[in-house]
Amino acid sequence: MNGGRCTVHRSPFTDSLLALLGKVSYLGRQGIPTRRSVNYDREFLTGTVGVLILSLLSERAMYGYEILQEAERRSAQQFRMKEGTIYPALHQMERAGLLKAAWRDSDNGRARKYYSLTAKGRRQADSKRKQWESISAAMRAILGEAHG
Amino acid sequence: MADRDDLRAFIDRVVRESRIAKPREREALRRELESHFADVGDTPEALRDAMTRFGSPVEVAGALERAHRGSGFVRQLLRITLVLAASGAVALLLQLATNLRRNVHSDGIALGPGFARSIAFSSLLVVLLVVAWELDLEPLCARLERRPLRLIATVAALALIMLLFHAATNSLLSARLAVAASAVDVAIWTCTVAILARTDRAFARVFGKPSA
Repeated sequence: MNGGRCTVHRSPFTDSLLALLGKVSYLGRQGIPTRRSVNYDREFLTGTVGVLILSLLSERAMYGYEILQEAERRSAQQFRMKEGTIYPALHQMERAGLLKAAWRDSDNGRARKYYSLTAKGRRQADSKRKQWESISAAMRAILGEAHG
Repeated sequence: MADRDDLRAFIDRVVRESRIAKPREREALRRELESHFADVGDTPEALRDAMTRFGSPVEVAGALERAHRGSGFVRQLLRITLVLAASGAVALLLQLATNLRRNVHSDGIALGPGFARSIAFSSLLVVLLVVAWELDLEPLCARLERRPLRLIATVAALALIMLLFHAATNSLLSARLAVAASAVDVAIWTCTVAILARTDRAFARVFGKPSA
């Protein structure tokens, strides 16, 4: 860990995801992060918010604001999205049975709604991680060849 | 500049325009949003910045409305019915395929003597797996075909249960037949879990997906 308050294991998957999403800022209506310097098609990164949530929650339970802060901190403040978009995503995933939520007090004594993965969510996170690694390796190979 | 009243109006707007039907869920959303803004501080600048970072209340409310749309009861019922029908059909076909025998008396084909018991056990297994999937009972939801050791252990465990059951009821069953029958049941098991997973994905695609 790089000096932050988080002391839990940080998965390479989360790191690679955040690395790809590095230098991103939120653009658009549906929580799709996009690079400031490159105009992506919106479809290009659709779904990454969900993958990011699954990835971070696979390490420990977090509340919405904490997820945002954690993503921002790990990407050296480069990953920024409109904060409100995290809640529809969390609620949708909770209703899909991927997450479960429970109110409990945080370290500072304030009640927070903590989200954690269900067994189904863990399977989904695992599946997404494998897909991500496969796509990432393929893209690296293609881009490497193209630039090599 | 913004003050606490502006923030309250902001949260009210998100909650109201999300059109969430159940009062309890609306209040839970309000509480969650209030906790989101609890740490930002009380200065007008901090509140204004926090609301700016949060995004448009209309857009967030619209996304929340989509996330909470419908109770999904009919949809879930349809999904479970489809899974039970498909898994039941697979179980029936597999049991038919393994229980068909040449009838030595009439020179035709007939079902083996254990077919009724096999199909009853398979049906019970399918229902048990669907319930386990819905209740998220992890050990029963595993894709056995991807875990060979667990698959072999499951076949062995089921065979042992069959042998014990037959021994308790004083009926004969060879170990070879017990293993064959439990292999069929494990095939039904893997098919049912695969059907459950694929149906979940199909419904997510058709009726609105989780963000992941």
